[in-house]
Amino acid sequence: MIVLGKKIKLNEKGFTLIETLTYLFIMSMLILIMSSLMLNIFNTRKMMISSHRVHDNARFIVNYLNNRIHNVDVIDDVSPQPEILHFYQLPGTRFSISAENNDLIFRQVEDIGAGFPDQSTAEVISLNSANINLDNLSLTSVTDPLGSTNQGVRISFTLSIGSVGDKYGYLQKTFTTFISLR
Amino acid sequence: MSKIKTQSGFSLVELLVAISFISVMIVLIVTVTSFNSKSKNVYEERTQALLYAMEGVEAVKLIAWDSLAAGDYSVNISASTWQLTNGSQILAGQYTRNINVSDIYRTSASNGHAYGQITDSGGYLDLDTKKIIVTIDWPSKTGDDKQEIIENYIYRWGAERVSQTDWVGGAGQSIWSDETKFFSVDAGVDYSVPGIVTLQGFINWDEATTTATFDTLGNFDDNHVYEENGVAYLVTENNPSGPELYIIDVNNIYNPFQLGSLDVGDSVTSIVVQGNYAYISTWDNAGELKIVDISNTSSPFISGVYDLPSNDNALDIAVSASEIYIIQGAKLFSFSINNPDSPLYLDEISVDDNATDLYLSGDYVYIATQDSSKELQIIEVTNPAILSPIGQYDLPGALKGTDIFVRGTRAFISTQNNGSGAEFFIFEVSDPSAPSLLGSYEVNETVHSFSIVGPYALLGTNFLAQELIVLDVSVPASISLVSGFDLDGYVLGMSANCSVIYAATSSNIGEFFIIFTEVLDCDYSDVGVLESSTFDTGSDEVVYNWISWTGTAPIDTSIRFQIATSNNINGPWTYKGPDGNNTTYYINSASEFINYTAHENQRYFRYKLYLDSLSGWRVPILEEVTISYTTYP
Repeated sequence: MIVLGKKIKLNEKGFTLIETLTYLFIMSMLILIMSSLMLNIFNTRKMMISSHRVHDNARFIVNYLNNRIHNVDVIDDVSPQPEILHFYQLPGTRFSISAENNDLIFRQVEDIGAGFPDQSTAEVISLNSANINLDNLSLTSVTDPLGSTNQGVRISFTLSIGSVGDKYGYLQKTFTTFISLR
Repeated sequence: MSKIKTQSGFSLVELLVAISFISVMIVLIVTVTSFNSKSKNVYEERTQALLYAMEGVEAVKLIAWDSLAAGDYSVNISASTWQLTNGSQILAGQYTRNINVSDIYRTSASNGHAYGQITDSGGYLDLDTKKIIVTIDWPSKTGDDKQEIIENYIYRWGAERVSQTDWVGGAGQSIWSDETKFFSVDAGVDYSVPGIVTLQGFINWDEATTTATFDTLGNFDDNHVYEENGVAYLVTENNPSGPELYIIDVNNIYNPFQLGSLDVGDSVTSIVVQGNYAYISTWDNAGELKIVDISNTSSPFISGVYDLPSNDNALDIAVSASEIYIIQGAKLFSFSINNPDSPLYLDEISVDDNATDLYLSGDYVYIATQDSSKELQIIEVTNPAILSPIGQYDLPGALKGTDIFVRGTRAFISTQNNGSGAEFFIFEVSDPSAPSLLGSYEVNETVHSFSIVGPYALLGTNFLAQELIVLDVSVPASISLVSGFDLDGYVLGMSANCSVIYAATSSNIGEFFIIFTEVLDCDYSDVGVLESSTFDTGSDEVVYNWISWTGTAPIDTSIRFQIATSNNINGPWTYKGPDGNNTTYYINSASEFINYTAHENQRYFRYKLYLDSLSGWRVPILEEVTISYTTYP
């Protein structure tokens, strides 16, 4: 009996019900808080990536166009067709930017005298990243005080990323700036 | 039993520690998250602000210059142009843009033009520069007020130049259209030779006689002579026991006398004098390039030596204000002579076969070579440290060039005997990349050297009976023989002005000749005035920057300019000098600031050229005049 008694003696110092309940309550609260925080961090990260992509693209596009347009001699035509800007650098290099299939396309060719510019030979350079969509490119020609036209161009475009339903990944922004010929 | 006994629940202390640890973690995470969210907002806002600021900077460039008085402005597009309004503006409901325009002061000024460093206090107001500060202020979503500033200097940019290098088109052109024509000229001006304008003169070669000779020691050939302001510098082949450089006073053409001499130690092939230094090319393998200090003409001494790489002989040398060009074998070398005593090597270039003579004209070195496929070669020296070939010409047959000269837009080259072909050629080099042959002359003998005086070419030939012949080259397509002289030796080098020829020869009796044309003053006009056509700058917001010219104005002669401007294409034309009065003149060939206020915002201009000669036998020659102006925008 003593042996048996030893074996079957109950541990009277186990968890009380209160202790267990308290433990469970605290743990569940902790898990809840931690998981919502984790979700928050994840969503913020997603938003920041979207935001940075859109704004990086906008800065790059504006800087690139600034650079090119500051070094050209003539803005030839600000809207031969909707959403196309033609400009050229003497003697014979010609450029164009245009919005095509949600991309901002830059082309550069040597002028071969076959219309302006002979686009078929031009290498297509997309100024925005693949996951960025560009819409609503609008170009406004600006005249200088002496009346010379096409001395600068006001450029406005909308960049978007992600699908509209994606609350944290979707971002749409419109950017406007002005670039003069010099 | 002890195992079971140690089991126990969380004590309160343990629980508190755990909770506090976790709350610290939570606080950290929340902080990081909110910081990230803030930085995202700031990045977005800054990008937007930057675009607005850039727009402001760019827009100001298309504002009329006169509207840019110091102050605070905003800009808006209206009727396709940027309009400037006083005060700042609010964009997109939250960005306040202020465009500040302020004046700039610089450390120096001349004729009303400010130049030099921008200075914060004092200095001279620079009317052609403005400082633009675009400030964007916005209340950030983060709760702070943020600011983005872009500063920029704008200039009346894109200075334009107008040059005239040719006047042969004649008078009578009121409005600038044909670049070879001008408006009016008086009787004293000779514009018949392309590329130059000079005073009318006349040389009677029938009366020409040798007035004096000078015998250099021994029977060594004189290779070259350089005459400047009444002093002739004569160089000879190697005299083992005597000098190779003689300095001779030739002010009295009947009685030249020696001022000094120098034993260089080896044959000297060419000499150019500039300031207190003579630059000579020699055969000396230990130093082909030598620099002689001639500040005291009675005791010249070698002050600098440069040993060119190979042991070939250096055959000719040309000097500009700050560089030397020298040819040795098949190579052209350039040196900086900012410190004339120790020339600094800049660059070298191969011309493929032996170079025999060179001439420096503007930004180009013209070289006569023995390369049968390109006897004439043109090297661009705009940057003397980067010599680059720009043009060449293949003379008929396998010729060897002997001498070369350039005046205005014409290059002259002579060659060794070409049998039944020509030995003297004239080129048009207004486009140095594509020289075109204008005419040639069959001398029937080798031409050792030549010189160009007015419309005449003086050729030192290999004929025994006519070592010096005179050609009329005013019409290159039909060059005609004018006269010939029988000297004692071949003319190996010469220096000539309107009436006097200084010849270095191979004679043994008197190697140095002075030939006088017996025309006391060549009948050069004392004065000549030329008025240009009217040039339209295309804008009444214009300033005139500077005027420069190239040409030669020997002692006792001068080349002067005045400028007249008007807002009416028909004038009136009131000619003014650097101080804004009609009594002063622009005389500095390098470039001189045009008076600022006298000509500001005057759309049309003319220049007036004044040529003068007091000596009668020296003549100023203008080759090119350039005026720089700036319109805005």
